[in-house]
Amino acid sequence: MRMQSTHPTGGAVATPTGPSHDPGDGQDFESWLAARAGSLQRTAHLLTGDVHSGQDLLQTTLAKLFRGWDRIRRVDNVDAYARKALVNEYRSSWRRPVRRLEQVVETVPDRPAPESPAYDDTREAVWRFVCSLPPRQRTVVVLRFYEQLTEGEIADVMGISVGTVKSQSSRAIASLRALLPDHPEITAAREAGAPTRDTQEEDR
Amino acid sequence: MTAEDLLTRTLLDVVETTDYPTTSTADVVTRSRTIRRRHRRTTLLVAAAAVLVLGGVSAAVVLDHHGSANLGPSSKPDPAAKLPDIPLGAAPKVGILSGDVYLTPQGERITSPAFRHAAAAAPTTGGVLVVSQSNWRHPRNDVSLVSDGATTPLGCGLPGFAIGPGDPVYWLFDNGCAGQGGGHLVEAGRNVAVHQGAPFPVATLDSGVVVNGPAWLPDPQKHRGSVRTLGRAAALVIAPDGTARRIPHLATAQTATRAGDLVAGLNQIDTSAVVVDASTGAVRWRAVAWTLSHFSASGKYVSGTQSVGPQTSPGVGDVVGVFDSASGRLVRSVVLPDMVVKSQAVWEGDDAVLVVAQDAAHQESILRIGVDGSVTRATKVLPPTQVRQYGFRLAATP
Repeated sequence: MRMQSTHPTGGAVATPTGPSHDPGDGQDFESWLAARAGSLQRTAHLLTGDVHSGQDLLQTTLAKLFRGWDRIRRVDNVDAYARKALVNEYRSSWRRPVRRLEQVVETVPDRPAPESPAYDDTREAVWRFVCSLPPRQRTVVVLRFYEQLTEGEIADVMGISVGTVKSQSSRAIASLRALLPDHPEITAAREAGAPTRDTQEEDR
Repeated sequence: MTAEDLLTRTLLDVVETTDYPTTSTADVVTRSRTIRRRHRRTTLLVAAAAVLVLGGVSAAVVLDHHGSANLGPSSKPDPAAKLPDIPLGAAPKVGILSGDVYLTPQGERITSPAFRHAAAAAPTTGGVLVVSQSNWRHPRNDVSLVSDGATTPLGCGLPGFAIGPGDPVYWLFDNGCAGQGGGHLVEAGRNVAVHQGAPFPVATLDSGVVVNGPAWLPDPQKHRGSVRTLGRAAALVIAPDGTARRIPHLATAQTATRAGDLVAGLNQIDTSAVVVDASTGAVRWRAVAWTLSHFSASGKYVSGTQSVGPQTSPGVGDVVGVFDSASGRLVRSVVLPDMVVKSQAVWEGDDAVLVVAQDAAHQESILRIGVDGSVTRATKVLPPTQVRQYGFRLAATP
C-alpha cells in the first residue's frame, strides 16, 4: 500500500479580514448540535440500517440545516423541523437511482457477542427484518416504534396520508408476525388477547 | 409482549448498544461546502451541456475523440489500502479509549463503565476526568471522576474539555441535567468562571478559557452590557474574573496555543478555517478546504484534516495535513487512500499526529503520521465485528 505524501508550496494563504454581519440573537447551532446530534444520529442509523450510512445521512441533513440556520432557528420546534428534514433527506436518497443499486446484506455487521442467546437471536431476526423492509415502510416503523410518534405526526413528517401510515404499519407488523410465528412471547400475547398498539389507540 | 413491543425493544436495543461517531460543527461545515461545490459543478455541467447542444456539437463525438485518450497510466487507481498492511510502530503517547478502558500514555489500563460512551477523557488532579454521553431520548453529558477504581459523578455538562498545561476545564450546569440556565466553568474541582448559557470550553490561554459561546453572554463588569456575538456562534475568551471577550472574526474556535497566543477555528464570514491572533482577532492565515485540529506541543505546527466523505473511487481517501503555525505554510499532507479519518489529528509532541482511521473493510486502527511523512500504526487493527464495542478514540479530543 502506498500513502501519498506531498510537500506542497501552497494550501494556506494570508487574507485580510472583512466586514461581519449580525443576523440577531437566537438559538446557537453548535449548542443545538451538541444536544440533538446524538438523537438524530440514532434515528438516521435505524432508517438506513447502517451506522456509516446513517452518519452520511445525518451530516448531509445537518449541512443543509446549517446553511439555513438563520431562518430555521426561528421556527417553533427546531427538533421536529430537523427530524422532518432527516426523513425527507432519507426519502430523497432512496429515490436516487444510484441508491437503488444498493443491496441489503444478509448479515448485520458489527454485532455484539450475545449475552442472552434466546433474546439476541430474536433481536437479530427483528433487526434484520427491519433492515429488509422497503424504505417507506421502514421509515414508518422507525417513527412509530422508536420515535413513538402518532400516526398523524408520522403522516405530517412523511407528507403522506394517515391511512397510508396505518397500512404501512400494519403490513410491517403482519410480516413480523409471519416471520416469527413461534416466538413464545408473541404467541403468548396473542393467545391472551393482548391489545395491539393500534387497538389501544382506537380504544382511547 | 406484542409484536409492536418487540419492535420497540429491538430498535431501542440496537441504538443503545451502538457506539456512534461524534458529529462536530466542523464536520457539518465541511459537508456543507462539499454540497455547495457539488451544486456548482452540476450547474456548470448543465450549462456546458447546453452550450454544446446549442453549438451543434455532439458530446458523444467529443468523448470519442478526447475522453478515452486521456485515460493514461496515472488514472489507474491504487490497489485498495488496508490497515494491516501498514507497519506497526510504537504505542500511542497520548491517552486512548477502547470500550470500557482508558489506556494512559504510560500503558496503564483504567477501567470504568463511564469510558464506554465517553466524549472526552483526560487526566486531572486525583484521577481521570471523563464526560459520557448517555440517554438516547434525553441526551445528556455526565461528567465523572474516575479514581482508584471508583467512578464519582460530578454533574451534567458539555461533551468536551479545554485542555491546557493545567487540569482540564469543563462546564457544569447548576441545575443538574435539565441542561438549562446557568453553570460554571470548573477546573480541578473549583469554579473558575460563572455564566448563563452554556459556553463550550475549547482550550486555555494565559488570558483565560477559550469557549464557543451562545448568542450572548452577560458581562459582570458592565451592568447593562453584554458581549454580543455576531452570526450563528462566536468564540470568546472568558477571563478568571468571569469577563467574557469576543475573539473578532471567529465564529467557532477549534484549538489554541499559548505560544504566539493563536486560536484556530472557523471564520465568521465564509466559515473557512483560519488562525487568528487571540487578542485582536487579526487573521494570520487561512486554510481553504481544511479543518484544523490541534496545535503541536510547542505551538510550532497545527494539524488539520480534509474529509472527502464516503469513498466511492479506489485510491481516494481522507487527508491529514501539518501547517506551520506562524505562516500557514502546508508543511506536509498525507493522503490515506481508501480510508476515513474518524477523529481529529492529535499531536504527539511536535513530531507526529495520531488519527483514528478506518479502511474500506471497516477495520479500524490508530495511525501515526509523522511530520516527515512516515505512516505507521500505533495500535493493533480491530476487525469490523469489534469496532462497535472496542473502537478506538483519542481520549482528550475524540
